[in-house]
Amino acid sequence: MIESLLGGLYLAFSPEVIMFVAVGVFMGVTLGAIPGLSGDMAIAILLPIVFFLEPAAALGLLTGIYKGGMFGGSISAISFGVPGTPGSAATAIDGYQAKLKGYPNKALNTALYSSVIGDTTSDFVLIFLALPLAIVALTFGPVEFFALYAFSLLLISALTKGKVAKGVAMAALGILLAMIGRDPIGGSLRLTFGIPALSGGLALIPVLVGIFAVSELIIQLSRAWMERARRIVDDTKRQAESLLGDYDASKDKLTFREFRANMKATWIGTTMGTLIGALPGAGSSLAAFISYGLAQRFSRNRDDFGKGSLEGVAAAEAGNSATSGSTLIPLFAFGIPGSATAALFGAAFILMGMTPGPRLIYDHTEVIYALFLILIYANLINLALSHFLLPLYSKIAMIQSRILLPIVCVLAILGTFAAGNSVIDVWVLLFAGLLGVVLRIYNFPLAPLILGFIVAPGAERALRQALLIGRGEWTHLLSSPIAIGLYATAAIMILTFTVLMRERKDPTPPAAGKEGQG
Amino acid sequence: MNILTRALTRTDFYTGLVTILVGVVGLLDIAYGNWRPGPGLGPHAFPQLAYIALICAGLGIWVDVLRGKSDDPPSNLRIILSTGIGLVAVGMGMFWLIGKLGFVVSVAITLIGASCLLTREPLKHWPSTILVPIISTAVIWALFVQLINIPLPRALLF
Amino acid sequence: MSRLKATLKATAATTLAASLAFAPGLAAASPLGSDPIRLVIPFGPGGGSDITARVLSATAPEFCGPRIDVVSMSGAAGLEAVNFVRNAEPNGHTLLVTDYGPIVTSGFVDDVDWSHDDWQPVMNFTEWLPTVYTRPDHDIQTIEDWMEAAESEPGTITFGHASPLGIVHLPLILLEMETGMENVHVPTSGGGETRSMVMGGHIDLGMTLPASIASEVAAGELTALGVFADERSPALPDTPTFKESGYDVALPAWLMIFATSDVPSETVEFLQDCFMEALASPTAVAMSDRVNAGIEPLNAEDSARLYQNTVDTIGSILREIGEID
Repeated sequence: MIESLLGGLYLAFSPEVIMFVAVGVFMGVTLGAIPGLSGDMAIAILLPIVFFLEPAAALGLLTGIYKGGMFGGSISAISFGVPGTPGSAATAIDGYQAKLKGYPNKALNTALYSSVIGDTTSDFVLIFLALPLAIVALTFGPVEFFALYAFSLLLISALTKGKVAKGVAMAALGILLAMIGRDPIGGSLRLTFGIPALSGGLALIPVLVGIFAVSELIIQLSRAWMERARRIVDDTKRQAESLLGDYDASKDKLTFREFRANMKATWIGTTMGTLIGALPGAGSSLAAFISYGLAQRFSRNRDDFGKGSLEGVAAAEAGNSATSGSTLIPLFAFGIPGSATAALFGAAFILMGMTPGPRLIYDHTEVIYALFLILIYANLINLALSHFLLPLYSKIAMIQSRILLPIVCVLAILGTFAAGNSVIDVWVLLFAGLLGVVLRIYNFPLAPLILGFIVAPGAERALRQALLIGRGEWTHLLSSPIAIGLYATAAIMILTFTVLMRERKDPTPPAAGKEGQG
Repeated sequence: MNILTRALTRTDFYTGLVTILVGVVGLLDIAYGNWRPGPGLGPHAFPQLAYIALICAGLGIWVDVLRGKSDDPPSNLRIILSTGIGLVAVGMGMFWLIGKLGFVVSVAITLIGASCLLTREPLKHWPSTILVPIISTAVIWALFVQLINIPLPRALLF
Repeated sequence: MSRLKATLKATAATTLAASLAFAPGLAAASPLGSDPIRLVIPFGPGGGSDITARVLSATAPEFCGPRIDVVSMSGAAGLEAVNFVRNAEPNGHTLLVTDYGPIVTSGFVDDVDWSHDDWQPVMNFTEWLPTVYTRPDHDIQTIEDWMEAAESEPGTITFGHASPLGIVHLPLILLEMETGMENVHVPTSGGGETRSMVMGGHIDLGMTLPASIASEVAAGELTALGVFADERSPALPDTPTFKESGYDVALPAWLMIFATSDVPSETVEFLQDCFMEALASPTAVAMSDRVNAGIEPLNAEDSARLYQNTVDTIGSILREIGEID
């Protein structure tokens, strides 16, 4: 035991491995900041070198990329309102508003600290609680998953305060977009409008980057165009000018008091991210949105959410990053990859001749101890390196938009192509961008659409699997205490929500009624 | 009556109408279209739920309009929309061009063209409209062609 | 709509044409030139096909000449990869690595503009043997238990398989056709979900490929009931085949490299020779053992026979269950 721990220490802290971790973090932060490109993709590309590197070095590189990518996505989310990775879409909601209000640096640092806190906690959970949590993960079958997805759909109401009707419409649209392609249970085609290219459905990255990022880019481009035509006197320009004119870098520093004020949101995100990450198939973007919704619920400054709240940034980013350690739990405990990233780590283990599963830690003790150590100290490297990179990257964000925007657009298009090597994904990206613009113009909230898109496939599969297993009996959906607990929590939350709304005399009573119908 | 006629002038009356129409058309498609039955509720169950939610949401938007809550679209709507269509066209054009001229040339042309369009006197600002795009193209080439090696044609010239 | 399709095709075709037109001179022994060979897989990265293809891409350049890249294209349920290879210049630089799903099954059930004869196998990596498994504390522990349970209470046993009509679903359909037994088919998102549902006690049985459960079966954490093959699987030597239990059902899933049929036969022959040579090299054998890929290469001729057999079998199953006319 002691001997292998020392062996692990020796492996993990060899200069070569530390260097690979640092290189990985740098690559991850940089690639993650490019819309469409994510840490996952970089890992997939670098898989072959696993054949040629020492296991500890290879795992160090992959871990570094993964952690860097987790945070890197939030850089472009905050700087341009363009999420770099699917997980950072929730960060964009408040982060970009914060930038427009003139404190990008505070938002970026909040994102960095909450990302590192969430990630580190999640890694400790992986190391010490992998087995107990894995057993909880196994008790999640179709019945429990459907309850979880229903719970998250109900949280949509949290994300759409004051615009409940439009929020429900967007969630429904997200569900419909997710239904395009082959029915996962019956195998028949639906809603493809006769286009064979749509038979595989719409991929997450093009839809997400399109709806959030391309639509934002289009609006910014149109602003740049109007600036050129000198025709505008609109307030956004004035806002931008005042931002540059009054921008006082010395005031835009995260104070300790602000940092402490965000801690509650950070811990909500960390807890939800760790729990959701441990469930196979739920994913980091879902964790980020749920954390955001919950943090808003429990925040004292609820009304600031969506208007540049640092708490919103902290919750979303902590929720996103806290999935990173726990998503490996099912892989270590049972050899079941719970996410795309876990599948890639699993493939890396296989390529190194190590079979993922419970015996991994007994058969390759030293390497796994080394990996655990790397997982922890990679966070510190991420913190240090990002601290150094942030000023550099936020300077890039201050480049004049007429120069920067075309480059960001081209990167988004090429990044989306590279993520799936698919031309179809590029068309989906562009049309999703157009759809996003139309929806923004008519003041539809975009977050529920994405949440509906993420949740619908899992919810549909879980519900129909549960009904198949329960021979069509709807009561089967209530056969599990976990499911009943989730429904009860959702009901309590909605009740408190309505009561709170009454007290505050907020003029949106249709909320409760709509829930019942939809 | 007055309240109703005023509602007709509100934008959200029409967004609500479109929402409801999409839901109704979808439900008609499920009722009369070519949907194969499938195990466990069938493939139409979730779309059906979504269409019903759309109709309810549309009615909710109308209720909001009647209570005087309506969002107005931005005044520069037409410019934003044409920029959107322009971006889609440029994106598709770039991919078409990559097939004809290769990766490097197409990306460089797209970047230079876009920067020139957005700059008032492009030739006078040549460092930012010509030089920066060329340097960016080099970086993009290094990233996507050398590092990631995406399956697109590399270049005509080198 | 059809214009979109045409544009896609044009892009893919010109893509390749342009990249290949400027090949600087041919390498001495190779008819391939120095441009890279692309092994296109119709699945996401990290799966069994990806890992197996990477053994080849790591070892074959020494024997074939050019560099070899594995490109993952999972769009349009794998059909995008198939179309990409189909529309590429027929010079042997773009090859498809796939199991029978995206090429045989899709060729029957999907609206595609190619037929099974438009493809020629270059070689076959391996045959994966679909295996039925469950948890060790389940009542059903053998093929016989399963048959009895299915007979006493038909239509109650829940069986998890990945996507409908996939390589771990068709064998179950074939078995039900042969025996008349009935199970509740529960489609899942893939092998991982099937396994967590079996282990968590949510479903009774599941089907997967031997490599993904071999170590759990050896450790007694999962029980493998039976293998849909003529011979036992080398990864699961103690697991009987369905044939041994008296059910003549075998439907192995191969992993084959395909070229389009208009690639010149010399090129295909050269590729076959150098791939086979590479896979027989000590490095490749060691790698294959390390990643548990079970690579046992078949040459083009044997692969073509195997391909034709599979086309016939799958065709008759799909006709029987009414998926095609």
